[in-house]
Amino acid sequence: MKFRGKIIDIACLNHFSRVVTTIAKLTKTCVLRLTPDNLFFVLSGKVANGGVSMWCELSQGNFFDEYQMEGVSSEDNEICLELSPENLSRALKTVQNAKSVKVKLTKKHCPCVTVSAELPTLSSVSRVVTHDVPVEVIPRRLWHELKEPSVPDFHVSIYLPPLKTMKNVVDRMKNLSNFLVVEANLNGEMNLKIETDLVSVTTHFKDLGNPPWGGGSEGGADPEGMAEARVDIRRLQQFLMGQQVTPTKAMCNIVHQRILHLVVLHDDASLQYFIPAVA
Amino acid sequence: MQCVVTGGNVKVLAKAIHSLSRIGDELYVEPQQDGLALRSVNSSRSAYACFLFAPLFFSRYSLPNGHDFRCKMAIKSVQSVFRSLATLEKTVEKCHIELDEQKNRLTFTLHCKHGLLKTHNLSYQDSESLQAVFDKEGCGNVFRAQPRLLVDTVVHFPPSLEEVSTVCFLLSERSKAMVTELCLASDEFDHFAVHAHNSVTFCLKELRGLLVFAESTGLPISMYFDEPGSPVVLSVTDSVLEGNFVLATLSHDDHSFQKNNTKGFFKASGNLLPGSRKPNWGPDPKVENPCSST
Repeated sequence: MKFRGKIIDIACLNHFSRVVTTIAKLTKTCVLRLTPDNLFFVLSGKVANGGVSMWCELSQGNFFDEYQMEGVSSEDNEICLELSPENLSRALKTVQNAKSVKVKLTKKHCPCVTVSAELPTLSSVSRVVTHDVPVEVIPRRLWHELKEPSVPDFHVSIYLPPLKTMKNVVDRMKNLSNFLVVEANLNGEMNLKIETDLVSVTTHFKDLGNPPWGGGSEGGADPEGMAEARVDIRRLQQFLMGQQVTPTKAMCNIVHQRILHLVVLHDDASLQYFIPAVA
Repeated sequence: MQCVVTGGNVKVLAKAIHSLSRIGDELYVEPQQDGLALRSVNSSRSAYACFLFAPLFFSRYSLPNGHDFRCKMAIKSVQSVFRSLATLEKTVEKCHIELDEQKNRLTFTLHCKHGLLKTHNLSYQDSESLQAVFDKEGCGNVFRAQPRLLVDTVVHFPPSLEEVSTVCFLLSERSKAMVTELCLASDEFDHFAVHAHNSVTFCLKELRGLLVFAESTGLPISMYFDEPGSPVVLSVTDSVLEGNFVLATLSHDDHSFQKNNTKGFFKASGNLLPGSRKPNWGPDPKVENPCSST
C-alpha cells in the first residue's frame, strides 16, 4: 500500500484544509478512502454515531499536483484509513504558507499519514515541519460498510436557505429544545419548528426553489404537502457550524419521518450528511 | 518596603505576574538588595520561575527596615490587581506597593487617570525562601532567539499539548500519538552554541508563560540546556530585569513527568558544532529537581 501526494497551489491547499476542517467539525473519527481518482471522507451510520452518516467526495485532481497511490491489491486498488480529521485539520492549518505540502502514508510508531512542508523563513534554510497523523488501516472485509450511500427515495427535495441564516435560527432554537422538525414541500417552502411544553417556535422560509428532479416517490404528489423529519438539533447544528464557505448549491432531501439528507456542493468537493429522524 | 512602578513598567510587572501564574498558584515575593524577586514554582517542583526587577526598574525602591522579608500569596489575587492589560496601559499612571507587616498584607495602589485610586489589600503568608539551584554558565548548550521565532514554532503545537523539545522540535501526544516535528536551522537563532547531539524533553505549558512575556517585551530568549535530566533554563534579560524559567527535563529512564501532565513531549536535539569541545561541567551542574528550599 502506498500513497504520496503533493499540493503546490496555495488556493488548493486552502480549499483542502477547509474541507478537512469541515469534516473535523462533523465527526471525531472517520474513514479516509483513497482511490486513483478520488478521496472520500466517510462516516458510516452506526448506532454509536447516533445513526448519522456522512459522505464527502473530492476529486484528487482538483487539489493535488502530484498524486500516486497503490491500493491493497490490483483488483482492490484502494486504501481505507480510519483517522481523526481534527488531527489532519490541525496539521494542515499550520502549513498554510508553505511552498508545497506533501502528504503520504508512512509507518512510524504506527501507520500514519504524514503531512510535511517547508516553511519560508528569513534565513537561508527553510523550516521543515512534519506532522504524523496516526491512522488505522481498515481491512478489506469491512470495506462494504464504506460504500457510497444510495440516494434515498425522498418525498421532497428543496434548496436550503442561506446557511448562515439557517445556522442563526438553529442556534437560537437549540436553547429551547433538543429536537427540531424540518419540513418542506415542492412549492419551495420550508419550516423549521420546535415544540416544547412551554413554547413552540416556527421559522418559515419561502421561494427557496426545488431542484429539477423534484421529488415525490408517488407521481402527482400534492405540491403543498409537507414532508417532515424530526431530528436531534445538535446534529443539524454541527452540520451548519462546519460549513465555512458559501457552497455552490445546498439542498436537502426529506424522506417523510425517516431521514434528513443534506447535500452541499462546492466546485471541487461534495458533502452529503444523513440525519435519521426520531419519533 | 515601598516600591513604586511608573508608566510602561506597570504593564511589564503585570505581564511578569501573569507569566508566573502559568507556573504555580502562589507568588513568592522577596525584596532583596539587588531588586524585587518574584518567584513561582509548580506543585510537583518540576518548574520554577523567577523575575528579578532591579531597583532601577522602580521610580522608588526601599527595603523593609533592617530585616529580611519574604512572603507568599495567592497569585490569583495579585493577578486580579493587574487584570486587564489594555486598561492598565491606558489608565494606570503608577503602581505603589507597600508592606504592612502588622496586618500581614501588601497594599497595591493603582494611581489612575483623573485622580482615581484603586487600592488592593492583599494578605500574605510568611514563607521559606524559594530558590532554585541552577547554573546557566555550566550548561553545555545554549541558544538565543527572538521571541517571535519560538512563538512561531510553538504555534504548531496544539494548546493542550504539554511537553516540548527544542532546536528540533518534536512533539508527541501520548494518548493520540500524533507527532509533530519542526526543525529550525541554527542561523535562525541570534546565538547558537550547541556542543553535543543532545535531546532534552520538558514541559510546553510552562514555556508558553515565558513566551507571552518575552513577545510583549520584545526581549530575546536564551535557552541553556545540558543532558536529559538536567534542568533547562530559559532566560530573558534587559538592563532592569531578569527572568529565569527553570524546567526539569526527563532523564533517560523517565517515561513521564507526572501522571496527569504528560500529554506531549518536546524533545531538544542539537547538532555538533565543528571544532566543539566537551562542556565544562563546573561544580554541580546536574540537578534533577531544580528546586530546593534554602
